[in-house]
Amino acid sequence: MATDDAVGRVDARQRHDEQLIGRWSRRLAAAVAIVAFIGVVLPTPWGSVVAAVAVVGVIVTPVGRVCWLIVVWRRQRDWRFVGVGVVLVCVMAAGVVVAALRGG
Amino acid sequence: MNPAVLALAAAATAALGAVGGLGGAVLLVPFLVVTGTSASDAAPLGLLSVVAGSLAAADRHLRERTVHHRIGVLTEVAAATGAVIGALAAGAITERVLTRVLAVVALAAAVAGGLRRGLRNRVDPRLGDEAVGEWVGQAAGAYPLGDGVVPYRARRLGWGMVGMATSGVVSGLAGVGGGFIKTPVTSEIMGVPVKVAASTSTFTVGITASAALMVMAVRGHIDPVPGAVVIVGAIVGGYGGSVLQGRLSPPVVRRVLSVLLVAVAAVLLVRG
Repeated sequence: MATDDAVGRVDARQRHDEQLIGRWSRRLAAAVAIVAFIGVVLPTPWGSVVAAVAVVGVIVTPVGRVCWLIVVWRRQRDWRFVGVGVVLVCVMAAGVVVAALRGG
Repeated sequence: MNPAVLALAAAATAALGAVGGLGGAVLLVPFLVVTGTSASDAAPLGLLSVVAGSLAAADRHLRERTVHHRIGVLTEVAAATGAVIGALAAGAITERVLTRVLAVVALAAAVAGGLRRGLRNRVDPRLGDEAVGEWVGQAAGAYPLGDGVVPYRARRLGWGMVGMATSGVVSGLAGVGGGFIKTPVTSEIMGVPVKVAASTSTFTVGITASAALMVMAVRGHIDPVPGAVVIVGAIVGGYGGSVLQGRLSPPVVRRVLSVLLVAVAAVLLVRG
């Protein structure tokens, strides 16, 4: 562990990765907004199906970003934070399992 | 509710929330409840607006290099756990109690918005652009400020995790983002600069909301069409808010929102 005064290492590819995820977030936001809009204007039952796709897309996006971070940290050999990321994904998965077991 | 009104409400609250730094859902959910939507139906709509807003803001914050993913993911372990517990508990408590919880949340957000302090971390003249970013293996890093570089390190992680777990429970219960708790906890308790704390919170509220939404989706509590309306509104409003941010004064907007939230809380308490 570094001391308070120590300057840490910034991974050289990190900025490139962050720009990449920023660009993809922008594209994804635009795509989700378009799909959601189509879902709103289409009559049922297709409207509901397309709207559900947009809703699912929005819900899983943050999980995808965490998984992407785990891959980046694994490449940086930052095993401590790889573990933290995996724990976070497990917490979210556990929530789904508990909700499914308890029902509506 | 009429889809056009819902989309407008989602867009307006997302824009105002982005400018004020409080998030849109803390305005949207009380608005929906005051206009007749049940608190349990309003919560997933609020959470969808949170994730959509987080997605819309990601590019800008990443370009500013102010998001600390490691601090965000670390604190999210507590926040997501709280969100899952909150979302599971929300199904077990009455609408009346949920409405009152929402009123308390609105009041807390008003206080947090009114009391937010400024930047206290200092530029370190020894550091150059090569130090900017999050540092590998550490809950520490540096961000650019003007011509200088400001280093920081997250402290008091235990207390920070307690604060994040609280914000997660609030998110899961009331359907709000919890950024109004996360940003002050990250800056005031954990000692992270406000700018980094706010950007990191914008990233993490999406994860917290996603954890709660997964529980709600499995339990069949999400209606996709109103959800899609809110997503469109929140993404458009989120982009609009980032444009407005350069033209309006965030502290002034925050104070106006605080007054509005106190009024909303009063209405919710009377109705609840």
